[in-house]
Parts: sequence; C-alpha cells; structure tokens
Amino acid sequence: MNSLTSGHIKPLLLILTIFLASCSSTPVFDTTQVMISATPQSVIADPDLKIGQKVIWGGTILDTKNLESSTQLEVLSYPLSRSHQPQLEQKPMGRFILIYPGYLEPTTYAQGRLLTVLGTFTEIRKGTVGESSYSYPLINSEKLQLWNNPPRKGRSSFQFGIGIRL
Amino acid sequence: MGTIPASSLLTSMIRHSWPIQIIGIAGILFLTACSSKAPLPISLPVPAEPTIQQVRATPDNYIAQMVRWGGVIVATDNRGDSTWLTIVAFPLDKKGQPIVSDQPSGRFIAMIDRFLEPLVYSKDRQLTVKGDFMGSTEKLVGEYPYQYLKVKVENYHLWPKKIEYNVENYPLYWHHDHWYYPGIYPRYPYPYRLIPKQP
Repeated sequence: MNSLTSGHIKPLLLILTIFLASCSSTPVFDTTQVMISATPQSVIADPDLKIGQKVIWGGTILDTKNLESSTQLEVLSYPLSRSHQPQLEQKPMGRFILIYPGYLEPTTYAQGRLLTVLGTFTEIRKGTVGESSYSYPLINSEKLQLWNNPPRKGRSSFQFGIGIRL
Repeated sequence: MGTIPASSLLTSMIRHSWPIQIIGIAGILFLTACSSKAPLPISLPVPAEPTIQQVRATPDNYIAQMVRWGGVIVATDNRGDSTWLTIVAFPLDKKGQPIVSDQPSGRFIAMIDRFLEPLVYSKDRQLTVKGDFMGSTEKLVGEYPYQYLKVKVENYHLWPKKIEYNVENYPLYWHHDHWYYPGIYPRYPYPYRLIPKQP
C-alpha cells in the first residue's frame, strides 16, 4: 500500500470512474410505448396530441402535498441521463405535477430530492408561480424512482466524506 | 489483546514504530468499542418483535403487546407531563438503531411519560423506543387521514448525531484518511482541513 504514489493512484481512479460509470447506464424504466422526446415544455405547446401518452420525466421535488387519497408532487424537470437520472447541470425543462395514487411519506419525498417518474400525461392544470400564471402538465404516476442527490462541488476537485461518532 | 491495556499497547506500537496502518486499525477497533452505547432494553429484541407493517395490517391483534420500533423524529409535542413524538419508522439493525433509507415502514406516535426537551428531541434525530402498543389513531398528514400507531414507551434511546466531514486538499496518502480522527492523532502532519458538513 505504501508504495502507491500519486502516479499510480490517478490511473486507478480513472479506471474506477469508468467502471462505475459503465454500471450506472442501465435504464431503470422500460421505455416501450414511451414518448421519449416529450418534455413538459413541448407537451404544453401541443397538449391535445399527447394526452394519454406515456412519458419518463425527472427532476427536483419542489413541493409535496398529501391529499385525501393521493399524493401530489410538483417537480422541476431536467434532461435525463441514459439511466434516467435527472442531470441538474443542464437547463431545466419546465415544471410538472405528478399524481401518485396513495400515500407517499413527505419526509422521504421531500423538497430538494431527485426523482424520476414513468407515467401517463392526462391534462394541463393552470396554476401560479409567485404571481405568474403557469401551465402544469399532470402526470399519473405508475413507477417512481428516488435518487441520492449528487454531492455539492467544493473548491477542491476531490471531496471525501467520513463519519465520526461523538 | 483483552488483557493488555489499550494505552500501553498503543505506546509500544509507537515506540517500535509499527506501520501506521496497524495503529489505524487499533484506532478503529477502539472507536467501534466506544460506539455501542444503547441501553440493553433497546439493543435486545422483544418477544415476537412485531413489525410496523404487521401491526398496521391488523392493529387489533396487537393491543398491549410489546414492540420495539425506531426511526426519525418528525414532530415533538410537549403535552402536560408527557411528550408525544411523531416518528417515521425504519427497520432496526442489530443494535436497535434505525436503518434510514427511502423505504420507511410507516409512522407511529411514541408517548413518553415525562417532559423531553424539544430542542434535543427535535426533527431529524433518530430515536428507538420499547413499549406497549396502544392501538391506532387517525391524524391528518396534509389532507391524508393517516392511521398512526401509538406506543406507550417504557424505554427509549436517542441516537447520537452523526457529523459528516468534508476533507479539503486531498492528500497524497489518501488511504490514510479513514484513520484520521481529531483528538486521537492530533500531531500527525496532515496537510488538509476537515470541514463539518452543514445539515
């Protein structure tokens, strides 16, 4: 172990990164019969053509509301990677509302968490963001996937977390 | 190793300039030995050990049975001489500590027969309780009528906060990081800072 120098470590890290990246590219959802190209913005532009279609969208949870028999999540969507993970470094593609038929624990599906949904686009709902009116595509959720949020980038190129008990 | 005092073991290691790895492993063993602080009633399973899911399915079958549940506090309600804690439950590990994940097992209310400081027993802290199941009660989560399970608590344990550190300026000997604990190897010349992560 002591004979490892930085000259050895960098290629090792590179290999490890490539290895991990190759693992993560498996899509989590079955994409058959899914309208892959549709985004919240494109659906708003031409809703009639797309009602009833299946979509896979994902992004950051902005708000969680537990209703009487369902749960409603407001999500700011981002382009998805090949593994259907939202890519926060890209430009957001508009908000949408996700309806889950049942109870979702609001402390788990909390504000700021990343999620991807496979569901059916059902309608456009008018809402407001601040004082602006906003058209939200509504998605009936069939499958949900929560993601661990990527670590925030610091000043150094490496970050490392260790836990300490006090 | 059991008969040799840990301190003399460490000093002899340093005197004979044992490899830093071995000292590090000794440090890890030492810290692991310190970390199991839960009282016995919390770390030992209760008879039958009914899970939240089982009790939620048929609550009437479990009235007055002993349960041991734990999770993350979401609300603290000081009422007169008692404190009611709303807890999002998770499966427990061998020591009785909740394994927090994206799959909570449900919510319950822990009724504790004394005043608990709400600043300490606060949101996001982990708690495990042992006590008697007292039936369920309906309370709203948002607009959803949630069936909370109620537990009359006999024993409880608040788990210590886990502080996460970021290491800045990654060192050359990166494989030693795990073994750097402030206060134990204070003089080891590490060229980087540990920054506590803000919760």
